[in-house]
Amino acid sequence: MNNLFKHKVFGYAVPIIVFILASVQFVQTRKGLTRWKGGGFGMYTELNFPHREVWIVLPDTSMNLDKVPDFKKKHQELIRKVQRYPNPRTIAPLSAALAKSYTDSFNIQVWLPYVDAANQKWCKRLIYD
Amino acid sequence: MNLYKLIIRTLKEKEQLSLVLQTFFLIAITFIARLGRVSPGIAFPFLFLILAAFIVGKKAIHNKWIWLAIFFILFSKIVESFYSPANHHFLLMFSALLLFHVLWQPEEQRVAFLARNAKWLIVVVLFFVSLQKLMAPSYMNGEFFTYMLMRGHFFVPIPVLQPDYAEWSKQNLELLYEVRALIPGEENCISFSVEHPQIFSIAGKALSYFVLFIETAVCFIIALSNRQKLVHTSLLILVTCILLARPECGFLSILCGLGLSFCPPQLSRLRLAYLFFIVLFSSLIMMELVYY
Repeated sequence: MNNLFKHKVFGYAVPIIVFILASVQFVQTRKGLTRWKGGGFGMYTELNFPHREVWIVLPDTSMNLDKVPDFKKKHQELIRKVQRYPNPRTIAPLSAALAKSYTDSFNIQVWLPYVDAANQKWCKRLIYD
Repeated sequence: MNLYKLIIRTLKEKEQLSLVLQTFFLIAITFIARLGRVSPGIAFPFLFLILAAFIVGKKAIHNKWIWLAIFFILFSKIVESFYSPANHHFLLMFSALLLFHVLWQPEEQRVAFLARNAKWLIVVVLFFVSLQKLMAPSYMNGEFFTYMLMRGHFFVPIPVLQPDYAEWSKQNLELLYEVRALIPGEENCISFSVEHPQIFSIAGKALSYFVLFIETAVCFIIALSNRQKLVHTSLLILVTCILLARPECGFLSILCGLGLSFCPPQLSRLRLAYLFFIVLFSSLIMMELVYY
């Protein structure tokens, strides 16, 4: 057993660590993590995360947070975190920051553009609500 | 011609581990110098110490602690924000850890240990590169490549072969900006008109399958074949294909460094090709002409 550990496991420690890390990232991509980040080597399998649009949906209007200069300047990293991995843990701090500026109830949505070439349309679809 | 022979002879005589350490040192310093733009507080002190050690000690790069320091510079960026660094940042970090692990081994075992691990590290990377593609719906239905082809800035040979493509993709990009400005829910699409719309769907899907096939085939060849010439030729073909699709020079230089790590000295032409690519990519990254 000791020999097996020394020669096989320890002898290939780095590829094994990379395999484990990439497997964890691969599982996380199923939950919304961008394939471009996190060490899972999923580059060029989907659009990169900056293409993801984070919108605040208010009762009377909606805004792409990347197009709200004051908010973006102050909270860009919060927006980036939601773009990379939209989930309750990244949405919560963004919501808290937005709540300081918007007193009405609001919703946060993430949209992604795509092309429907056969029907000759550029579109976007909801990927997180 | 004499110069070429001299280079080949020098390469044959050059000790394998020294060559790999030198090339990875070049890749790592190039990468960390660019990383310093983003996190100077982390990168600068380590970079200073590594360069000082390099100047003071001729054999500094043979010291395992230098590689552990490089590993920690890259690791600290990941601790700072796990989902911020690119995937190849992880690969370079683990390459540095591998070199630390190699230098930990008894001297007579180092070259074989490096070759074994570098080979399997590439296999793991290519396995996940293929698996991620296979499991990504937007990749397998051709949507991703169709999008990239229509938007432009992809596949270097297309604008060269078809000059109108640049202007056409620019118009598409403008349409895309319009789509991004649409308030979702009210209107989610903008129509466009092309002569043969089906061509793009077919091209996107065909390209997706072609790239997946090449990457999977290279992964299997490296994992299973004992014919070293075939292994390294296929890896270099893959590097060239990726370069033509998108100059991802940071990732490609690491891939070449790992390829060089298990390329036997008798394949001196292929080793020269790896070195050529590594120096080319590092130069382009330093000049900020490509992605890093």
